[in-house]
Amino acid sequence: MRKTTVGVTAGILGHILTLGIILTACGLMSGSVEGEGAYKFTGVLERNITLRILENDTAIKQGYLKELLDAFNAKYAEYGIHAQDANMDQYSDLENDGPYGYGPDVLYQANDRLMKYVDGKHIQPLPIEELECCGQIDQKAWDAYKAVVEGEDFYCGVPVNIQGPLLYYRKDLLPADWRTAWDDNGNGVPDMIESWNALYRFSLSKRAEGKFGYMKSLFDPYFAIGYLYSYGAYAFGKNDTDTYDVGFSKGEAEKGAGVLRQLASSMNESCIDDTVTVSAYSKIGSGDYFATMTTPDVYTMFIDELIKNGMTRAEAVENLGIADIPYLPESGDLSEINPALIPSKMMGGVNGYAISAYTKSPNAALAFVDFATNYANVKRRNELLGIVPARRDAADEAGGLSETINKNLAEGSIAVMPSIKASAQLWTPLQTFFTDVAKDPFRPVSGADGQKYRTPDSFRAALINVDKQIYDSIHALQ
Amino acid sequence: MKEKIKGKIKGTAWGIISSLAAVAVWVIISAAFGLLAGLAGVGLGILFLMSYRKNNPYDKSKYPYVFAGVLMLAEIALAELIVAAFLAAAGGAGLTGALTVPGAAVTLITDMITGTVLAYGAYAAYILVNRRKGRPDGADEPAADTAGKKKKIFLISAVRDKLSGAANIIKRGNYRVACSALIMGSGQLLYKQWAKGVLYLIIQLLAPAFFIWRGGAMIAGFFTLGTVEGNQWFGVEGDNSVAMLIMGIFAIIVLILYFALYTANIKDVYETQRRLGEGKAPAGFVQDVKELLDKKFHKTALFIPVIGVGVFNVLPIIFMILIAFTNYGGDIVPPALVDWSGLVSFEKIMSLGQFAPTFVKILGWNFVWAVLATALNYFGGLGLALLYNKKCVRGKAFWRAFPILAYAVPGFISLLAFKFMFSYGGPVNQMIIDSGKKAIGFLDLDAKWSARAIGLAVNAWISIPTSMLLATGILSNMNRDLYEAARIDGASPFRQFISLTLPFVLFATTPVLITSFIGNFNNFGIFYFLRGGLYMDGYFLASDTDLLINWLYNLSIDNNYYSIGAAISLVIFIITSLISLTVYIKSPSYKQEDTFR
Repeated sequence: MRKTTVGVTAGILGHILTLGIILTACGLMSGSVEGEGAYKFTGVLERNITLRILENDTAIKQGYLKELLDAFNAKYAEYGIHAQDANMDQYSDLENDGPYGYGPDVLYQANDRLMKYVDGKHIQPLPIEELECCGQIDQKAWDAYKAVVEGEDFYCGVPVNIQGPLLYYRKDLLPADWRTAWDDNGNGVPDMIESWNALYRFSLSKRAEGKFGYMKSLFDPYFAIGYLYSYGAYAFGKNDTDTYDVGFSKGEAEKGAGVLRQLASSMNESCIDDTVTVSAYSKIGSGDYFATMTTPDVYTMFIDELIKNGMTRAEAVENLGIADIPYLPESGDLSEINPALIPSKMMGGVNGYAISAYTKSPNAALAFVDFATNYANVKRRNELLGIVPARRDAADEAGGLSETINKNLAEGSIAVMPSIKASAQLWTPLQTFFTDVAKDPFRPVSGADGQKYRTPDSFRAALINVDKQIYDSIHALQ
Repeated sequence: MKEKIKGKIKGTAWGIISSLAAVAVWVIISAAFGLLAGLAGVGLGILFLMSYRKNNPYDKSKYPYVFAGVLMLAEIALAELIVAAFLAAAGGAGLTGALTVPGAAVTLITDMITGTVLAYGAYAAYILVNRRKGRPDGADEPAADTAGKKKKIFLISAVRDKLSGAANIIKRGNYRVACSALIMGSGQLLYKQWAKGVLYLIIQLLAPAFFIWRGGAMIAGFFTLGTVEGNQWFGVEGDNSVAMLIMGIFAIIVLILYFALYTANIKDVYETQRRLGEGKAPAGFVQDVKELLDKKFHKTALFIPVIGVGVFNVLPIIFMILIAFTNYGGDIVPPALVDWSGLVSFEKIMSLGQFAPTFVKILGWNFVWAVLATALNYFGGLGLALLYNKKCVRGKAFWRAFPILAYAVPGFISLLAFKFMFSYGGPVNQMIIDSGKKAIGFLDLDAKWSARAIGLAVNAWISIPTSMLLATGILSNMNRDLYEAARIDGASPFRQFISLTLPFVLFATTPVLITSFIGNFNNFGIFYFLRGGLYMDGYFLASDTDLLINWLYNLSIDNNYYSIGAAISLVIFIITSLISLTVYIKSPSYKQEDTFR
């Protein structure tokens, strides 16, 4: 064998072996990334840092965030702490962004959106007892942010705003004789505001005039789930934590689905898609709709539409009625006269602040949350944005809606959205079901494309299918 | 006291037994890996030898078999040595607990590399022995034999040529080539090619530095996907499996790039040797640079794009493919540790009862959709282009502007506008209601075929302008004399279209047609925006208008089944690439490339 051939072969062999040994050695030596494993809230404020605050779009548009940031920055200027708008989509994904160093330090979102981050420990449990607002917030609101990890309770967010549906209606569109014809119990409150049966009856009478009584896009699970909840359904077992027990078909949920179908029959096809949601403000303003259901934070949009339709602001405020959600018939039949009534239980949520587990300045972030949830700032938020404060003192001060919603939460008439990651899998199966139910009265009575839901059993079967779809979407491919 | 001593003895015995068991397991594993690596090396050796035999049919010697045997023994012995060294090093470093699959995998790769090297060595030695026996110089070069032969399978030929070229270098390279083989650039320096030598030397220093600094750990991370789970609550950063996977792929790409440069370095120094042998002056650095700006300008121009394609296209594609072989998804998303799961995702797809019927239904509709949408867009665009080409049409520029406006509006805006138009409160239903009829649920739950038809129409609205522009450009190159001749021969306008226009346009646009088909096959936006958010009875987490890509989205994004989603996307990839390749190879664009030149 030629010497040079041996040389070249040896050269290649030597080179590759050296590289192989380097790779093997470096691969073996590579350690995993471990941190110091320390408790983060030491009470010592980080200095000369910038906090990125993710607020909701309304707070930014209405100027509340700017006010809040200015006040906070002025207070903490001596520490060099500067808070600023995170300037990112309000639904930015901390799970994907956080580990790579992106994302905000403080987030303001609904409890279901925030608490889905608990599984991966993307948001930090907070020492809530150190916060000024701690004793002022009802335990039910705190529960929306409670996570049980390895048997220990952690609170991963601070409640600011309670979301729950309310009935908006036009007082001036009530029948002139409502005190005699529509106030059976003589309590001075129109029946159609107190019971779904009366509202249904009133809606049918409005149809005869070419107008509508109660109108709502019924496919929207956020507002439609409540009809199922009111008759004993639930999202997940064990206080919305057990994803192996999906309960939308439980109790007498089929009665709630029947109520929804009857309501659809008093409307037109617009209730099947989002047509009503889009046009509700203008249609209430124009008087085509008598009532709709939505959240408290859109109050000003109704007022603006009423003004557009020729009312003064005072008249608009006077004529826009806001009421608690009416009672449901125990039988589940809206056409029943003088039914036994049960309270409605609607879905709600608790918006609040959380701190990213990836923040480099946890103490400054906690200081911000403490500042933003103090009495003055929550009160100001209520004044500017019309939110319902979770703080009892601010809610009492605001009165009206805020008191009602807080009362509903405390009494259990508002069921808070499940605070687990799997809640994201609820919406599409439920939306499909509610669309199907809303569509049903508009199908031909018989035939292949005929009505599907004519008996309680048909509703029950469909709800069992919904439960299965939700279960499958969470577990089937795990 | 007695009990204590008894306990101690028992503990020690258990310790010895468990240690022995661990060693036994490792011996078995290392033997298995060694055997595997040995077989790989032998396989490569045999491949080379077979190649040699094929191109030297007169050679009846027994050497190939002897070499194969020696190679196998040497490779297994070396593999075992490496495993033993690995065990010793790991044990010495107190890393016995870390001796799991990752370590074994690194060992396997090292073994494979050495196997390849041995195969090369064996082949080189065999050739040399044959030369000593008086074979005519050059006769043992398979490449020379195959030159001019029709290459049945391009890839195999290319690989064989490369291997024989490499063998040639090993056989004929001088000591300077050997130096460059050991340390990159050293051969060039010995030839006094200073600039090139220093550049290669820098690469030689930088590459191991990178692997020592991060690369080695990245490659190890590729196999382990992390060992410490993060806990941000207490500042335990932990390993990010997904990042480790990406960085591992990156490091492997760097390793491949390094080997490409290493090969180029050896080839370069051999080329210098060859030139000197022929009495020519070695190419200097300036001359090389000039060549890169002239004859080899394609290499210079493509260097950065190729790097870009590697990082932004190849890396994500490999990442996506590899995700299909992990358990990433559901509850297992970082900071939870992801792990390799082999074919489990594919098994789940196959074994889940609800899955197959949905897959078949969606695949069927997906084909119908892709064919109809492609045909509609293509012939719609061609029809418009032909119409606007007619002399009798006045104000062509003005009319052409309308489709272009539709094209200029972002697709999702058009889709949302159409969704509103066909909603219950939209203008179409308003007109229907105003005419005394009942509103129609064009896109609602029961609207299977009307929703599909609207999807096709909206897609045509968005896509026809592109086809129209393309066809307009192609039609402007048509030879008008052909039409004149056809008219004289009495061909009707339809006959002219079938026999002249269509073949010409089809020839030029087949690749575009394939792209359009694939684009429509994977058209995510149409039904996501028009009719998203519904799960139908008889479908598993999908609706009757969903395409495979929408279903993929439902599974992977809405429901976090990332690995399942990746597995389905692999299936989609196989289907679409098979269709594309088959159609392209059968098309005139490929078969009759010179027809219209």
